[in-house]
Amino acid sequence: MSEWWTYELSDFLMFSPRVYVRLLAAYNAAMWPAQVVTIALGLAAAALLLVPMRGRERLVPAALGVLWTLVAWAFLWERYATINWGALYAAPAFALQGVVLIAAGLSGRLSFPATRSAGAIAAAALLVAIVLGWPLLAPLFGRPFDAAEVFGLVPDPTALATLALLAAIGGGARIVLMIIPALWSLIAAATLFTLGSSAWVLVLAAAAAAVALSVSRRTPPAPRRW
Amino acid sequence: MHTRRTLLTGAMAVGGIAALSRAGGAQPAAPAPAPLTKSIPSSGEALPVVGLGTWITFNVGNDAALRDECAAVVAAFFAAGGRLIDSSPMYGSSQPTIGYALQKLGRPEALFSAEKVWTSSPRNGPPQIAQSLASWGVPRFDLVQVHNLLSWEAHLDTLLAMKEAKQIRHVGITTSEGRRHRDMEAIMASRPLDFVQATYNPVDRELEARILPLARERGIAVIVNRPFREGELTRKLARHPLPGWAAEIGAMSWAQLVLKFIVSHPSVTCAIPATTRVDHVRENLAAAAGPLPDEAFRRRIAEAIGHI
Repeated sequence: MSEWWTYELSDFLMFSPRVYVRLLAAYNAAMWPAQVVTIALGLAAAALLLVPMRGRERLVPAALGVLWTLVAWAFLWERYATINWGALYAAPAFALQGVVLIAAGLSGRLSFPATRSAGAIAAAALLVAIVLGWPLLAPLFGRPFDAAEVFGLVPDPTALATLALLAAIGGGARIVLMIIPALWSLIAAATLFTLGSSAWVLVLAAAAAAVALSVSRRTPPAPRRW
Repeated sequence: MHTRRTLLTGAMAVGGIAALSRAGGAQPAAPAPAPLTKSIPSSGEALPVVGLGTWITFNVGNDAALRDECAAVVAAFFAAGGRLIDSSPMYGSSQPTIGYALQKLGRPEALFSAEKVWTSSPRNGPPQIAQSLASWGVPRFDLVQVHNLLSWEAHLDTLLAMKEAKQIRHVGITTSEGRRHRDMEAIMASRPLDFVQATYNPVDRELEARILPLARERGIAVIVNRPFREGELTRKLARHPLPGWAAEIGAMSWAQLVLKFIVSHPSVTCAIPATTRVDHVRENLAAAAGPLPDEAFRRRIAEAIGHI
């Protein structure tokens, strides 16, 4: 008989904010200058939502998938799991998301907006805000800047940016691709809430904005395949 | 800003200054008095009434600086006469952090190692305990408890068999935050336990009704977890001045007053506050060294803290 219902959210928060901040700072130092590359990739993805370029449907999801697998291995499995055994379960989910993104991109199952619609512009703006804004949350919420959370290297901004990107693109696979990022956004918000950080509101707001954009816009047809 | 530790009565503050003077002056500091001990009813072994918890505080991953901080806490704990350190496979990297500290300190003989088994699969219990032993770097545990009663029937059978085979010395069960007291009571009444562990402090007193009397009746030692509600209680108390009458039992801070309340209950064997700070662990052990409140004084403490 299992007794999991007797646990509360706080029972699974097994580390202190201080330990997490130091872990982030050590991770950032070890990964530098990858932060420059991943932020540039995020901005390029936003630009490619609005600027038609041959092969963008394949290139952008595949590159994003590589970043998900990087987060799965370098952060969740190698670092975060040392203070949170729950990361051992999250890492395979992130790796799976990465593989599916790569496969969906390379197989041409996703379509980018053909025109600069209001929805596409809003999604691109949200993506830029997450990629550029998320690292700035560290000093805004009292953490040192060297403990910033950067898109493509840690889970929260990577999941939220993925939701923003998927909000603008078409193809049946995008709904499937939104499941893990959406679930992670909920976990991230719950973790931040339990840690006493009001940043959980921003996580939920960004995720909700992406999902709202996704359901409100007219979905472009999936690319025809022969 | 006041911390839980800095709100001293006037008389005690003067005493603190005197102590600092001794530490910095020519006269050698007097050794801290040894903490009071209570006997484990089933084995008669004496345990200091304050131990060391490791939930959250010792989960520092591979951070070398924080591991050394924890090792300093463990060193201060043993230096002050502490013995019982409690952990669990649920506590992230706390187990290897303890192992690191014990290795650094040359494996203190005073250690009373209290671990837990925490898996829903009965089959995974023994390998999990073996992994915990490897993390601590000890040949056997003094106590293994079924954590939060998870799959307790099967694990308890395993632990009792391990005790019979002298692979562990004591067997126990745990809950926290008031969970499943009825189940705990039923197990205490029907199984040969050496220890139970549960939450008890001046504002969480449900144990007094049935668990603590039953422990006394059945000869079961009681470990108290969450004495400060993970710091929530002492942070709240720190906004208020420590009553002058706390000095009557040698309590120099709210934390010491809370600990003295807990360990003065006749059925309580040991409280296990967790901390990352050397000064806090010394202060916690010091609470176990002085006079303890009698029943009337305990009521006074509970009423004072309950009204805050």
